[in-house]
Amino acid sequence: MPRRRAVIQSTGAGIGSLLLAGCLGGGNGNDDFPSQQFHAIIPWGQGGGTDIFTREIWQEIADQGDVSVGFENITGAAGVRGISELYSTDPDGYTISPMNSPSVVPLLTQDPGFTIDEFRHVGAYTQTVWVLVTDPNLDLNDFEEVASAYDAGDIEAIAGQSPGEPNHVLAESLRSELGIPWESYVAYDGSGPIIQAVAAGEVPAGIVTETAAADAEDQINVLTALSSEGSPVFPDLPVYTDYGYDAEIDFMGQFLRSFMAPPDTPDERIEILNKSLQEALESDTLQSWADDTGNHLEYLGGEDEVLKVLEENQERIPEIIDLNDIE
Amino acid sequence: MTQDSLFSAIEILITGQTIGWLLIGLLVGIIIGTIPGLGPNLGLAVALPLTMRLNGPDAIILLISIYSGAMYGGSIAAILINTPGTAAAAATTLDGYPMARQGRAMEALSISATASAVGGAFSIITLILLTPFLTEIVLMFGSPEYFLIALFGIALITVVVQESMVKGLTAGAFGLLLSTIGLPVAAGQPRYTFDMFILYDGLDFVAVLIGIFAIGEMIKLIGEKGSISNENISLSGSSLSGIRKVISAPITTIKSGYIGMFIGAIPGSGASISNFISYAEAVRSGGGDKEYGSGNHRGVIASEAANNGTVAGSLIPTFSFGIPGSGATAILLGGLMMHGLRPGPELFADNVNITYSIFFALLVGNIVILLLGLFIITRMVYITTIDTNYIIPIVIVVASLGAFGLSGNWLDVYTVIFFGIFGFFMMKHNYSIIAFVLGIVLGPIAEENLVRSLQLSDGSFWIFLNEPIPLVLTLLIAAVVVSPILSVVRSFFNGTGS
Repeated sequence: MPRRRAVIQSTGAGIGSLLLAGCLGGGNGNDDFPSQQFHAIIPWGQGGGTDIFTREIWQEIADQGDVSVGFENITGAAGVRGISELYSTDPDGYTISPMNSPSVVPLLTQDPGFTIDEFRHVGAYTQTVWVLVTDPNLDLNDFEEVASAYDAGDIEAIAGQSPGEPNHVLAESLRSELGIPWESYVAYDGSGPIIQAVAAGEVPAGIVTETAAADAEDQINVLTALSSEGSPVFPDLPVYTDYGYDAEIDFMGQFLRSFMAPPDTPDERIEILNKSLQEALESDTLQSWADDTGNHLEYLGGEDEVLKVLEENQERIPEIIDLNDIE
Repeated sequence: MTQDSLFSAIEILITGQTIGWLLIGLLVGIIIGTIPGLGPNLGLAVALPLTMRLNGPDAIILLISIYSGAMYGGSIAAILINTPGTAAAAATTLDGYPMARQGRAMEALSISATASAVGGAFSIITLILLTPFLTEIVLMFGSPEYFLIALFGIALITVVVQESMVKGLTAGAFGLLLSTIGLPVAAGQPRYTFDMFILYDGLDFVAVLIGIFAIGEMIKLIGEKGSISNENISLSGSSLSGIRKVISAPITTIKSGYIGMFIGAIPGSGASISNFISYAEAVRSGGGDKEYGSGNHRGVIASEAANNGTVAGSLIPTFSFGIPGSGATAILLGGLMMHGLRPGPELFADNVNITYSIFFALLVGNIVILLLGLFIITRMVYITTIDTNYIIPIVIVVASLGAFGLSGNWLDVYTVIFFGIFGFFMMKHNYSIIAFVLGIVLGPIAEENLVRSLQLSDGSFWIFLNEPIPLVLTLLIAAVVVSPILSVVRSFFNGTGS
């Protein structure tokens, strides 16, 4: 008898907890587009640049459409988990994800069973430029002096993120396309740690995002923008082509940030989302947020422009690095 | 300049609704910290978008109060039901839960509140004093130093293992081995993923800790009758006795707070590591006191003072270089940037008053934690008198739900279940849980920084000896590894060894 009572107690408590857990679920509805809640799947962690951009922009788009938006960070496998989740979602225009152009690398190496050009692309909202930074205690004042120092063997290492990350591809591009013969690539876990290592003299040079470099201008030398179009954050910064380099590494020197929807999302919904994105980016709310926070927001094109960049990345990255090495 | 900034910081804190946000943040943090698996990361992630409408200082103070509250809140479930609300309180279970089983839950909860507040306060005051030099301090530590600190933590396995050394080293090595699953930072090749990208980022050690401590203990409780606090023992102890215990151990408390602060300042680590290192150091300095693990109040002090000390430490790399020490500080960093507060020199120059206001908010927060902990939280001891037939299913469901909430990955739920069973058998056969945890949490930091150091030195190990800080750390590691051997030799010659 006591045993039966114990089973009933345990079962009751378990079912009660499950019911409470179940209350966390949501509802559904359908009407003119958009009339329901948007669902943004963010394949990267909370608090990162992509997460912040997505939350700010889609909150504004939802506000303008008089609907709500829910954000879900599905992280892991360098973004592939979240992108896979988007791939298998209903193509009703309500679910979107941010996409950064260098993310084609994990899609190429992990082969999740789809390609990036199967998705529908809503539009691009900004691009981020990579810059070369050096240890301020070294007497390296421009890109040419850095190249000569590597050439002479005075310095050997260059810092970036894990193999396959954009600054690794860029470092390889500097060597193979521009002929800058660095000896060893040292991987760090993000722009912040790279800057710390460069500032402390642990490595002579590194490749970081322009926004990260702007936060640490007093501690490092920001030498060159690795995009021929220059850096919006450092408008006066020389670019690598100023030093006579003809090879083009812009495909990786600047990365495009955009939004995408599942494959087969209807054209008319993509058009509505694209128009909403443009309006949001021009809104006073987002522009003043961008001004206050030092970010740059600008509509940079729709599906055709985004696909052009992603396809160029897909094509050129395997020419620069051996994808078998990072599988 | 500094004096003006300090006054300006106090003004920010006491005007408008700032104190209100601080209190809300602490309460939310404590509640979220109490629920296994939820923890500060989830609390901060949910709160982050809600702060969009707040001004910068209010938003950051709300977020940091959630973080600080969760650090303390994690200890409540750790003590009452052996289920660390957060990974930061996992070491608290080691002595806090045995205290609860002995009917001393109220004393353990009051020790936790007092040690959290004192450890947190000391580290924040130190942080305020060090503010002008933070950048220079961060630059003193690089990859070789980080590797050696992680290795020091791993070396502490030899100290904390109280039973069989072979079993302890086996547990530590297995933890290290598990930490190699996934994609390492230094190389592009994932390991042991079996072509499944749910394994690409390795095992989430928070899920491992929830499994080992929460589920493992619940499996054990299934074989027992009655409530968590043994039925023939009445609830004893008071809030006052807890305060007295902390006051009587000032060195353990302050040292643990500083250990937490120091570990928190290392990128990639955090309170989930500092509570174990601090606990191990308490065991070491206690001369291998056999009471550790069976209800020694110093064990609770060491863990709880350290995890709240970690909050202050983790702000050092976050504020000075934008390097988050943990998942929680990564979200906090996002909050800073969302409100136009960029990490780096600006936070210590033009915006230094905001920086100080955040530090003061943490200080006030610790006082609030003390008051809430002593007068409200201690009333929760009656949970330990509830029949385990109710407790067990609730903990299993909440722990599984919390695990899924870590990153929406079913792997974390499977991890919790697997390591629950695994932890139960580890405990049953006296394999050291602390050794295992030290291995799994420190492995990635040690590996990443070892590889990087050797890349920088062209493979030469001289990099770990050629500067004063690495040299001192290397000698400390040698001392920790050799001391148990010396102790055995000494016992042998004294005729007392076995």
